[in-house]
Amino acid sequence: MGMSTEKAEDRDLVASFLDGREEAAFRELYRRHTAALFLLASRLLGGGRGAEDAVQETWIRATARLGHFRWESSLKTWLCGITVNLCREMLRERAAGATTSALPEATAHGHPRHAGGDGIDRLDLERAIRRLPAGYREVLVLHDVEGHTHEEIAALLQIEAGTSKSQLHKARRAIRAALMSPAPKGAGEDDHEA
Amino acid sequence: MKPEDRQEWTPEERRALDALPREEAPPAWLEDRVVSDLRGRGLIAAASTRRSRSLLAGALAACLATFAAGLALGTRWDRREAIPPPSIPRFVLFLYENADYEAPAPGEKARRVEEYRSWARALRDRGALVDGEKLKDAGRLIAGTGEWTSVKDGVAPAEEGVLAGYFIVSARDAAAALAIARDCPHLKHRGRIAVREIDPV
Repeated sequence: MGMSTEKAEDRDLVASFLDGREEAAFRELYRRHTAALFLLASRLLGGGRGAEDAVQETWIRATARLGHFRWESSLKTWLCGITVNLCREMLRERAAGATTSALPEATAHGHPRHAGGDGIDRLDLERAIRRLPAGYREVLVLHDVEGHTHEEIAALLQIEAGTSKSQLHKARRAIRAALMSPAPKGAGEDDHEA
Repeated sequence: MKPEDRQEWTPEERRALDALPREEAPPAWLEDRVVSDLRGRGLIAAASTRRSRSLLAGALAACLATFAAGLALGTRWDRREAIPPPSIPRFVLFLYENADYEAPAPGEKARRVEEYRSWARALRDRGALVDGEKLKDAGRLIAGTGEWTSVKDGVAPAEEGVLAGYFIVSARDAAAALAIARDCPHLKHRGRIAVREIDPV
C-alpha cells in the first residue's frame, strides 16, 4: 500500500510538473512534502529562524535538478537529503558564532525526568535535541527520528558509517544527561522568539 | 530504527522519540514566497495563469507602477542562476520620520497606508518581502536593571527621527536591498530609511 502508492503518485506529480513546469503541479508537490522538510530543517538547525530559508532553497535546488532524479529512493528521501546538506551549509556559516550551548557529555545513570508521571515530556526532549552540538544532532535526528540507517546517513553526510554510530552513541548519552538534569529556568519554547 | 539500534534507549525513551511529530506546517506565506522565487528563476512557468492575472487585476495601478519600477531597478532574481547561494540574505528597512516627513493630511491616512501596502504587495509577489509592520506612535523606554530600572513614556530618539515602521526583505546583496529601499514610497514623503542586514547568528 502506502509506500508504492505514494511513490507512484509522486512520480505522476513530478512528471506532470516537468511537462510544463506549471505552478499548480509544483504547489501540489510543495504541499505534500514541505511540512516534513520544514520540521527536519527546524530540528537540524537547532530551532529558531532559518528553516523557512532552508525549505525555500531545498525547493529551488530540487526543481533545478528534478529532471535528473532517477527514483533510486523515494522523492521524500531525496528532498530530505537536499535539506540536510543545505542545513549543514547554513550551520557551517553560523559555526564561528555558534549560539547553541553544548550539553555536558555526562555519563548518564538513573532515569530521565518525567512530566507528571506520563513519560518524558515532548518539549523537554525537543529542547534537548535542539541543544545538542550540530554533529550529534544531525545523526540523532536522521537515525532516531527520521529512521535512516547508518549507511544512509554516511552517504548523506559523507562520513563513515562508524562515525555515524559513534556520534549517535554520544548524542544519546547527551540527551539522557539533559533529560535527567533539572530544566533550566526560562529555557522554554520561547527561547527563539523574536 | 533497527532493533539492535534501539537497545540503548529505555522503552520510555523510545516511546518519547516515536511520539515526536514528523511534520510541522510551515508559515502560510512561505508557499507564495517559494513560488515567486522559482518563477523569478525560470524554474516554474512564467505567471500567465488565471490566478496571477486576478492578483494583478486586484492590485492598484500604483502597485503595477511600483512593481515595474522595482524590476527596472534590477531587484528581480537573475533567471540564469539555477543553483542559489546557501541562504538568502535578509535586510531590515527601518523607516524613520523626522520634521521633514510629510505626514498625511487629515483624511489622507488611508490612502497613504494603501500606498505603502501596494508597494509591499509588489515586493511580496516577487518573493522579496518577509515581514513588515507600521509602529504606533506611542512607546515606552526602559533602561537599567533591578532597582535602577527606569521606565518612561516615549520612543528612542534618533538623529534620523522617530522609528515609524519596518520591512524585512530578502535580497541577493546590499545593493539589491538598497534598490528595494529606494523604491519605497517613504522616501517620496521625505522620510528616511536605514538599511541593515540581519546577521544570522
